[in-house]
Amino acid sequence: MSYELLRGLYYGQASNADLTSSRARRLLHLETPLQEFVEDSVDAGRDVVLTGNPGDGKSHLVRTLVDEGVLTGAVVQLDLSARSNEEVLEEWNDAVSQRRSYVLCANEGPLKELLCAAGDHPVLRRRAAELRGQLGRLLVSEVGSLPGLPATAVLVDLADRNVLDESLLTQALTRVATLDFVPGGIAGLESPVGRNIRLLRGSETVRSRLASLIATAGRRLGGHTTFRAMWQTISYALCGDGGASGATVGSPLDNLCSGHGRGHILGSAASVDPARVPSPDLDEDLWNSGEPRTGRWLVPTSPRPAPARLWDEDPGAALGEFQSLKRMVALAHEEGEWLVASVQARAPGVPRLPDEEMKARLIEGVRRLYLSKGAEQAAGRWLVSGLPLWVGHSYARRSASSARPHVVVRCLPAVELEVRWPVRPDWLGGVMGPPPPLVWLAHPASGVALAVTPALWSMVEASSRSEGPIEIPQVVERFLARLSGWIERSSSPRSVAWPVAVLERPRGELVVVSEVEVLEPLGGRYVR
Amino acid sequence: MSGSQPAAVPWEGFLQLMLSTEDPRGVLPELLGVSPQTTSLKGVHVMNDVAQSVLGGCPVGAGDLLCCVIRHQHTGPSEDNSDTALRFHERYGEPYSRAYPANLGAGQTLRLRRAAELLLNADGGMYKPRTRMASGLGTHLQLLGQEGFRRFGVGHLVGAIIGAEGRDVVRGLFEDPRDPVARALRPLFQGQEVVDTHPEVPRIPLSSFDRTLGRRLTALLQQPLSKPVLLRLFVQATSLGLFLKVHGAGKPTGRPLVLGLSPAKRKKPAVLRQCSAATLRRGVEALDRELGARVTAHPSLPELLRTRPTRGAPTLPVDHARLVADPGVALVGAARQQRTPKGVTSLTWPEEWVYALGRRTGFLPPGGGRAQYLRMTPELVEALVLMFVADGVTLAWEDLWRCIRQELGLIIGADTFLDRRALSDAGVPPASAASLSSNNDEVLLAGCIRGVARHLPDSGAEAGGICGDLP
Repeated sequence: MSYELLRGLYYGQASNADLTSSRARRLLHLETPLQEFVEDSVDAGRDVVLTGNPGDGKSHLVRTLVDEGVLTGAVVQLDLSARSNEEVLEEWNDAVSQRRSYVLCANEGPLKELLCAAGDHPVLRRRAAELRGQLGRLLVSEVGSLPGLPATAVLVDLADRNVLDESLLTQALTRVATLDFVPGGIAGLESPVGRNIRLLRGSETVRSRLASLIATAGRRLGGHTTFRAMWQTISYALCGDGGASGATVGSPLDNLCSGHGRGHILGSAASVDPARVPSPDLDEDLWNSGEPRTGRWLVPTSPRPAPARLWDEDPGAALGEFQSLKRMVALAHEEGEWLVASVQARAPGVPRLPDEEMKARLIEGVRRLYLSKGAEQAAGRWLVSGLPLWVGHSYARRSASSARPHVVVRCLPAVELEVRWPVRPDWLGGVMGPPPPLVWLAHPASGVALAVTPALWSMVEASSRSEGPIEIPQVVERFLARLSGWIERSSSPRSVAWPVAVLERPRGELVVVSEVEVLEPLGGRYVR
Repeated sequence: MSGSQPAAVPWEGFLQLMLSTEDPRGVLPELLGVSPQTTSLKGVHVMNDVAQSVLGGCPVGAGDLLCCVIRHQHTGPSEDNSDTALRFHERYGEPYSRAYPANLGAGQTLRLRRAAELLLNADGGMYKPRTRMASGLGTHLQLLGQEGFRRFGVGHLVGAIIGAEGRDVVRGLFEDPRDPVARALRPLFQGQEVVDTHPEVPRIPLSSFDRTLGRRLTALLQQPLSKPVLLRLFVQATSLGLFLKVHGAGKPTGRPLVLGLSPAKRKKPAVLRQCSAATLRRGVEALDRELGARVTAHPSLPELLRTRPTRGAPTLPVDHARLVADPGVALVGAARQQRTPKGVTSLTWPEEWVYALGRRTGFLPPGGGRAQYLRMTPELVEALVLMFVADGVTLAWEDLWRCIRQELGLIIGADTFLDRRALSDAGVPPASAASLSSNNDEVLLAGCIRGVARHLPDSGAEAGGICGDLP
């Protein structure tokens, strides 16, 4: 039964709390601070609304709390979408009149409609207003924008929860590393799935390293990861997609990094394959002897043939065995520590730099998308001292990066820009996990901002160091168009002079750098 | 019937009936407001024409100076645009020398002229001075030039579609010198008298589709983007609007039904391409039916049918029985089949010029293959979002596409049930719900990449300029 549950997690149906039994929920339940937060909120007499993506764990959490008898004093509504607004408002009103907390699971769209309808309700008006004040404001760029401590109703937006946390993933791996999940019980321990589970059972370090690699794979994508996607990944790592017979003989990493899994994290898991980390000495040892020369295994492992011995017979199998062996080392050998660390070091992320340093690097990176370091040396000082607002100009079918000429007449001083990090309300504590890897380059005067995700950070960093053509991310193009638009509207029409520069195309020839002086009543002249 | 003798209708007379801009007006201008007999129109021509239609022309001779400036490499006896020649030019010497003082040096002057060439002529709308081919990428009245494509009247049509409010916005934009292109080229402003080469505004019948389109185009122009970017999006949206107008011209409301496909580079399922192409074919078929009915009702038709072709003049062979039964349909059908010999004026059908325009602006695939389909490029998605969602506001993705379907007749599969029903109603075998849904996802992704849409936590999505705002 538990093995079937584990396998079913890959296909999603076993992680849908509305379709599973309370036993299955118990088996998959992970203790998080959120559980205590909901309990405390209910104890304090507040209503609790949980919202988020499908698979974020709204129903799972509330059903688990109900199973545990924690919410007996509250009125629970598990799915707003299954009832009409009128019914839910009536139920909520009754709960308030009985001095009972109301716990509601709701998708964001229907929740907005409900709160709008509750705005006219004599009893629920204040609670609805408080929830509206929290909606979309639990992860913002400025402390001043955060909602205060809720008095009557608290919103928990699980779309803001970060499940790519090593400790949570380790807990999940520990949960499945039991005989409960081995196909056929003890007899199944020699099956591929059984061996994978045995490997995880054998060492906390193994679980921690696997958790770290899964988290790294998920973070590469920069977006939100649901609990369901997390379980899907763990299921695939242990079982593959074909059940007991489908898994390979090596380690869970062979499945994880195979590139065959479907899903949010699995799509990028091949990029965290430790077998791709260059390591000449270790590679030579593994190839010739089948194990590292130094260090010891963290768990007992069966001896494996040296890949070199397989080469003459089947070169493909030899290479496959070598990769599998190296992944096993990464997970379960003392020498694997630095392999995992190398994967993490190469993974894109947004480093938490001091504000001024981050701002300087972002401005430089965006600037060099248009003008490479080499070309900057030929540019005027004004063009490299801030953020030039390059604007492309053409009405024809041609991409901004490859063929549109660009012009700039204004370089925004760095002092007008700010770096903003995501912040959460103090009263949420650590309930939602660490903030996402994100930073904004903001222009407070206009309210325009560039959201820098790990992917964009990688591009911006690469642009600082590279020469030659580069694709301008469309969000950068739009950021500059909005900033320039704001400046066009707010600048004085009475300016008397301004600099000008024209690029053949981004990263192309800087055709001219000059200055225009206005002549009245119309026209002007170039003065340098 | 097919065996009956063909009648020979004078080709020139038929063209007159279809294209005349004088009373009685031809069928095509009467139906569409314009009938450009060209497939060479580009976005830059459309924008230049719209601006001049609204502003009442362009500075006399300004375009000629701009042409001289950008054609710096032409320094021969037939056309001498060298620095020296221009400094001593009878007409342009003074403005040229003022813009490029001699103390700049020859090298810097040349670099500045190259920059002007790039900014004004990246799209190849400008040619020799005094040829009325000075359609530059100007963002200000003073950078507009005279050009021959204005004779087709597309600018007046778009001016009528966007209405008085839209014209005020366009006027405001082209009189504002604060955008980067106008600032960079301000030394070339001459302040000459503004003259209009095409002052007569033809009578343009507007459908409810046209009025809706105009309102949306005006909304787009009010978005807070840099002017060059805004004008580019306006050209994209206007070209799409004209494309849709042609495909809806045969419908009572003027609204077409067109399936737009995602811009994803991977090969699209054949069934989706066929479905999109079929929506375009249905539009053209409806257009032909409407043209046929209008030809039949046209006051010049009896005279045309009575006229005997002069010897050697080109004719349009039409099946006699069909001509008797329904002359309009017979003539349009025969004209569609007509292969005009060399030297004889041919007829550019409405879809031909909008397809060419669409290919140049990027929303139709390059090449003139048979199965054309509409590509929802990220820029086109942005233009549509900005047409329908005001700055600082958000709209659910499904609601956005409900509005677009109802007002512009464009669908992508955002509501698979209603979109499939609309396809069926239009006589197009609908693609599967799954393929339409997947198409919608990819168009949404294009919007997300562009920064004008985002996925919502509940699997929905919303559109708007929010994605560049500070949370």
